[in-house]
Amino acid sequence: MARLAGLMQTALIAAFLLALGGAFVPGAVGHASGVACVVLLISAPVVRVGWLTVEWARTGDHRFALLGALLLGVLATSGALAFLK
Amino acid sequence: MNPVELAVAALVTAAVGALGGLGGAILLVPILVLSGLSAREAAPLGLISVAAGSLAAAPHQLRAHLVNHRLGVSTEIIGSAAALIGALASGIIGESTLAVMLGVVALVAAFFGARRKGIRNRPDPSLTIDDLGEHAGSLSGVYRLDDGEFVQYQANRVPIGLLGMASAGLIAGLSGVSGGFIKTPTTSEVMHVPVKVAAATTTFTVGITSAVALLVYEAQGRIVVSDAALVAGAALVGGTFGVRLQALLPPPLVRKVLSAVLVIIGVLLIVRNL
Repeated sequence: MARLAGLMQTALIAAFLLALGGAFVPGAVGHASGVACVVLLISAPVVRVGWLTVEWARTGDHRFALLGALLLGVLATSGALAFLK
Repeated sequence: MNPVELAVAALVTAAVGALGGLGGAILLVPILVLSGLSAREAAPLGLISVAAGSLAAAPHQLRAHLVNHRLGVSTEIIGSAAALIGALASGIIGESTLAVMLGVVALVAAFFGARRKGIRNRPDPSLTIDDLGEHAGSLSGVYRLDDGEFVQYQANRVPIGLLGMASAGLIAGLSGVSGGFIKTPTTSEVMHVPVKVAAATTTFTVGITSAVALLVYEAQGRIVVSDAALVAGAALVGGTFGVRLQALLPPPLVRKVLSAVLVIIGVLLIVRNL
């Protein structure tokens, strides 16, 4: 969990810096920074679930690894449906 | 609402939401609607605030072993599916209907926030720091009380809990509030998970639910990037501040104040839009 906490800490700092750029930097750079911030906020929990799924599979907790994979499947389906609709 | 007011609202609501374990959007979205923003525009900003608050809380809660990830992942499968259905349906629901629904949601949140209880599970002297955290292969674990004692817990009545998670996901997708006000009491009062673990696990899962709904809103072109970045930055600061304060202040007091604010917001939203 310590490595996951470190990863989330890095994501938190990166999201904050990108948010500042999106809010205060004018033009295309600011817009790109804001978009990157939103993408990071959306992807952080997905990465967290993916990390947990791999960790559970690696340590032999196969039932919860399967549930993690199922949740990732729901998230992937949601993304696909959202952009296809 | 000008950018400064928007940033202050996002910062304060994220901090208060993290303090009460309800998520900041339950306050932010009604405030934005009352300030003149349409419910349709406010919903994505609310979910940005939720996602930012979830990320802000993650490092601290992971290091404290407060989150039961196995419980969160198990319940979030149905929660995320319901959030997708809610977000897809939100585009076809009228403005005033959404605003009234938010008012009702705020009143329900006030009710649950006010009635939530403290510690149910008793400390076990045989437990040590080596037992801290969730248990592999089950929906159970051990957490630490403020006075340093350790408590074992086990999630009960999971099927009923799943119904609560489905409702929370649906409301999150429809209205842009996190659904945490349903998830935390459901996990704590129905599934008998200690309130601190329930709040931390909810903070983890609302990040996933908000990611699903934000994908839909992005596809619908409803995210204004500059406003979203402003709300995200402020909510990241507010969420970080709130989760630190949570360890210092008595949660029952915070929840009662939050409930009073929610009652006022809920009544105003309903009266203005009926």
